[in-house]
Amino acid sequence: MRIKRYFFTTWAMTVLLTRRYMRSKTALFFSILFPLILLFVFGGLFGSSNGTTFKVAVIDDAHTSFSQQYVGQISKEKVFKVNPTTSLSDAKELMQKSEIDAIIQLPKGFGEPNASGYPSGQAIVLYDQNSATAGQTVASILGAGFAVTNTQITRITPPLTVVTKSTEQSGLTAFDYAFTGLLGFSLLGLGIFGPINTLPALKKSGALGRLRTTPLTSMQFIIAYAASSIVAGALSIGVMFAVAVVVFHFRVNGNLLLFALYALLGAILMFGFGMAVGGWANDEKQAAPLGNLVSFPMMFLSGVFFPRFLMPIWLQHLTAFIPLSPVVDGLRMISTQNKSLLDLGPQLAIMGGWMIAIYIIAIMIFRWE
Amino acid sequence: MSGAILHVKDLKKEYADGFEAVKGVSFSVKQGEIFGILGPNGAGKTTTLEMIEGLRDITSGTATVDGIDAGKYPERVKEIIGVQPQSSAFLDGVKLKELLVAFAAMYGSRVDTSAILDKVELGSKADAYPEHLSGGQRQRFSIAVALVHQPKVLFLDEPTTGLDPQARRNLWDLVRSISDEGVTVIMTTHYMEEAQVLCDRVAVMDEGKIIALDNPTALIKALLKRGFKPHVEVQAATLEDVFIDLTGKAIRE
Repeated sequence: MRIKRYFFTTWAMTVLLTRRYMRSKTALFFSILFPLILLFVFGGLFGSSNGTTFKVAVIDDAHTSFSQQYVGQISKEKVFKVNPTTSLSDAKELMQKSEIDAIIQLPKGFGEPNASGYPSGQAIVLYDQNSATAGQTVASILGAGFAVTNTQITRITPPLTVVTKSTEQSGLTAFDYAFTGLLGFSLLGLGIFGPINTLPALKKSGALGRLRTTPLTSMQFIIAYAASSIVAGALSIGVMFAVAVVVFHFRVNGNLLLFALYALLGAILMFGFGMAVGGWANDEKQAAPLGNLVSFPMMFLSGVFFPRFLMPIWLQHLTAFIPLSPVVDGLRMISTQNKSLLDLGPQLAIMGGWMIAIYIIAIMIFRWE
Repeated sequence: MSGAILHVKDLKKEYADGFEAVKGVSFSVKQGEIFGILGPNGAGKTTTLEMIEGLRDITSGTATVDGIDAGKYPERVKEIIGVQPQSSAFLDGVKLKELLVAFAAMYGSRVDTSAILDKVELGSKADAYPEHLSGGQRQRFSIAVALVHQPKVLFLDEPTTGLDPQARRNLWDLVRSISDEGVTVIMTTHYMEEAQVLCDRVAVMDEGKIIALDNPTALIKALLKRGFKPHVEVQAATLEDVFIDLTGKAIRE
C-alpha cells in the first residue's frame, strides 16, 4: 500500500514535470533544435567527405585531342572535384584562398606523339605550402593513372606493381565516428545544463519550497525530475538519430536496441550530475561555476570532440574514469565494432560506480530552498 | 486545554550562529478556531509556524498537531495539515487543474478539481496557468492547493499581504467559509483590522516571545483598563470604509 502510494505520487509528479517541459519553448529549443543544429554543422564537416576528395583546377594549355580526353577523364574521377576555371592566374588565386588544393597543368605539346609514335608529355601539379600533402597525393594519383595508361599504350606489363585495398569492410565514415561523440555531448548538455538552469530558478521563485510543505520526499522529486528529463532526452536522441540515419546515412553495425539502451543509461548518469549540482545550488551564482567545473573535463577529456586514443597513454588511462568516457566509448564500440553487452563490462562498471555515487550524493545534498 | 488540536510548549529555535529566533513560546489552539499570530517583521511568526509544520528543526520544546509530535514525525504532521507559505509560487507552464491533481497525489489522494476551484471562485480558470493569475487569484489558488487533501489544520502565512481591499475582503469570506466547515485555521498577519474581524483569538509576538494572548475584544478591554486613551478622536468610519463604499465590494481581477 505504501509502495503503491509512493509510485502514485512519483508518477503524478513525473507527468506534471513532463508537461511543463513539453510546453517550454526554451527547453525544447535546447533539447531538440540545438542538438540538431550541431548535428548539421558536424554532419556538414564530416558527412560530405565520404572518402577523400581533392579540389583541383585543370589548366589545359595543350589543346590536343589527347589532352582534352585526359581532362574529361579527370573530371569523371571521384577523387577529384574539378573547379571550372580555365585560367592559370585565377586558379592560383583560388589556391591562395585554399578554395582548391592543387592545379593540374597540361603544358603545350602534352599528348603529342614522341619519337616512338606514342602520345607523350609531362603533367605539372602545382601546390602551395598549405596544401603540400594534398599536392603530393594528387601527383601520385596522376602518376598511378599514367602507369596504367602507359601499360595500355606500350603493351608492356611492368614486373613490379602496388595494389591498394581498404580493410574497413564496414565502410565507416568520419561521420559515423563523430556522431557518437556528438550524442555524448548532447547527453552531457541535457543531463547537466537542464537541472542547473532550472532548479535554482524554481528555488528562487519558491515553487520547490511549496512542494516541501507536502509529504513529497526529495528522493521522489529527484526520481520524477529524472524521469521527465529522460523522456525529453529520449525524444532529443530519437530525433538526432533519425536525422543522422536519413540525412547522413549513419550506420549502426551493432544492435540498435543495445545502442538505444546504452544511450539511455548514459542519460541517466549525466542527469545525476546535473541533479547534484542544481539540487545543491541555491542560485545561479553557485550553479554556473560548479556546473562548468563538472562539465568541462567531460566535454574535453572524454573523447566527445577528439578521440581519446590521440592522448598520451597515461592520460588515456586517467581519462577512462571520467564519467562521460565510458558512455562515449561504449556507444562507439556498439555502433562501429558491433560489441555486445559482455564486451562492455569495464565501461558498465565505471558507469555503474559513478551512477550509485552521484545519485547518493544528489539525494543527500538536495535543498528545497 | 480540552478540545485543543494544537499544543505548543516552550518552543525554541536557535540557529547555528547563535541567533535565537523563537525564545520559548507556548499556546494551544482549539478545534475549529481561527487563531491569529500578530507581530512586526522579524518577531519569529514564520519560524514558529514552520517548526509546527514540520519544515524546520525544533531546537527545544514541543509542538503537537492532533496528537502528533512535529519534531519527531514531521512527515506525519504534513499529512494532516495544509500550508500556504508567505510567498506562493507554483511551477510555471502547468495548468491549475494539473497542479491540483499533482498536489493531491502527493498525499496519495485524488481531487475533484472543478469542485475545489469553484470553492475558491476560480471555476473558470481550470485551464489557466498560475503565472497569469492576479495577486488575489493566486492567493485563493494557493489556499485551494492547501485544501486538496482535506486537512484538519490550515496554516496561512500573511495571506492578504499585497492585496487590494476588495481582494482582501473576498479572502476573509473564504477563510470564514473554510472555518465553518470545521477546519482549524492558524494565520499570521500584519493587518490589525484583519485579525480583529477574522480571528477568534490572537497571540501577539515580539522578539521571539508571545507577549499577549486572548480574544481581540478582551485584549482591547484590557488595554483600555490600563488607562489607554486613543491619540485621535474615534472615527465613525475609516478611509477604507470610504474606499469600499465608493468602489464597491465586488472583486476586481
